[in-house]
Amino acid sequence: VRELAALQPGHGAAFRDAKFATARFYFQRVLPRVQAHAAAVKAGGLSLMALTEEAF
Amino acid sequence: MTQYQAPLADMRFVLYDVLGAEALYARLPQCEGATRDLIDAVLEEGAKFTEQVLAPLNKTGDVDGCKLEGGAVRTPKGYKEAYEQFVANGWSGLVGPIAYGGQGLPESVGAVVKEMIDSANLAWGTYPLLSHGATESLKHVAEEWQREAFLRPIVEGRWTGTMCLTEPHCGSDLGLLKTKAEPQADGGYKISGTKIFITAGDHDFTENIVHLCLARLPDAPPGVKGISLFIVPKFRVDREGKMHGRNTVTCGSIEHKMGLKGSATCVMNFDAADGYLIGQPNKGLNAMFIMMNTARLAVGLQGLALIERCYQGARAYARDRLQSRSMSGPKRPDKPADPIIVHPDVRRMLMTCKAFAESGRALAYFACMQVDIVDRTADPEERKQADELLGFLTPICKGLMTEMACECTYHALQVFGGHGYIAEWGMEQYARDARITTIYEGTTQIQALDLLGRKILQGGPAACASSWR
Repeated sequence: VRELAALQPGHGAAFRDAKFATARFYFQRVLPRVQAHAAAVKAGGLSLMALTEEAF
Repeated sequence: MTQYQAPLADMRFVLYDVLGAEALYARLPQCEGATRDLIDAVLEEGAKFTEQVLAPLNKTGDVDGCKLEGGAVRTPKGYKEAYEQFVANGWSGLVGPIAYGGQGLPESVGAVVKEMIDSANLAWGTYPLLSHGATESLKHVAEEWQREAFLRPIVEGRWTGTMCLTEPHCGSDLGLLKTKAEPQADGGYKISGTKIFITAGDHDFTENIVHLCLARLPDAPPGVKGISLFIVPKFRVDREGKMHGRNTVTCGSIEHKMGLKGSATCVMNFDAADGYLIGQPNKGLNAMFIMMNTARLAVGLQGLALIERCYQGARAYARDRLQSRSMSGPKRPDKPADPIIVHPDVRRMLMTCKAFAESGRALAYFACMQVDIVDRTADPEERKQADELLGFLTPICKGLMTEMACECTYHALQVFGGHGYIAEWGMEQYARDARITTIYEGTTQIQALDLLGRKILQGGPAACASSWR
């Protein structure tokens, strides 16, 4: 994004700064969801399917 | 309630600066006309049309809903007039093939306009959306006379299209479908069966509706290998494209739904209705997947559009609504309280919507550019790679952006507090409208199966690696 912004002087500084800030927010505050998803996936399906149908 | 404003600066940033659309269009065959000047003009006109014509009908369409009167669907007040203006302004043929009356602009330009339409009025947007899916199937698998007779009127906006797949006992598992097609002496077919959840199955916009309907031939093998695709028009059409009397395909009822109330969801009864086979017998699934993939990308765009729209509403409210002081001291001492945009958790919700709107836009437009490459490149290797990448990205676009639309409409409503829950501010409509997007055109679960089963495990590591290249 930084490179792109440098190449595109058409957009103002405020526009560019907002893109950086939004990307930073995404990486710091949204992307860590991946780690939680990955942990759940790696745990496998056994606990998911362990209950018998009758137990529901 | 805030007015919708097409985010033209963000759209142009993704299209031109991030994805390099100009260079792509300049090198792809039959894309040379798509210059920046032309695209900018299209986007500006699209912004005007969606902001001024479609957006004001969003709430009234939700309140009015669709009505079934004497077997015919009446759409909400103003919808038909908006469609007439849409056609008169040339929007119906924006990305349609030039040979059949379209303007032949790239799909990725059409996607930007589609985002605006869906942000302004998601329910209204379903009518042209289904036409677009039908266009893709007709373009790729129909015979020449069928294209002249059915594709041209759809591209010109005189008729619209539908996709008739689902039956009462047959949803995600198409192998179960029962609708029958009996061959006739004249080369046509008689189609009999019941289709449900047919978006835009009937309406008052146009003189005819072209149903693309999955059915089984008498000798068809069981399961998905025995499905064929048929054209069944509301009014019979001969091989010269001339319209005749009413066909025996009728709307039996319309559904009462949680949201998307301006979009007619129809039960369609086919009672020995006249139809034509499209493509090869028993190869209907292939033909259907062409329109399905188009429709899945389009639903991903619907998710994006809702994220953008609800973000705009929440942003305006958070700047305006005064409650409590900032934790770091008053920001607007001249006022009785600070605007709620100063509060960190309001920021979290706004930023989440903004981040998904902007990243989702880049993902969606990028996927649509792969469609343009597949459609137009002269290089078979480039086409193959773009096609694999597109196949990989389609369930991601559809699944991720619609799930995020549900999350973001939740956040945006939450920013309004109690005012989000009441109808006056319009936020609860977005939350209700968003909910269908994770369901139709394949639920999120079906997208997951497609991504993992078909695209990753079946495609093998090589396909994945080339997708990530």
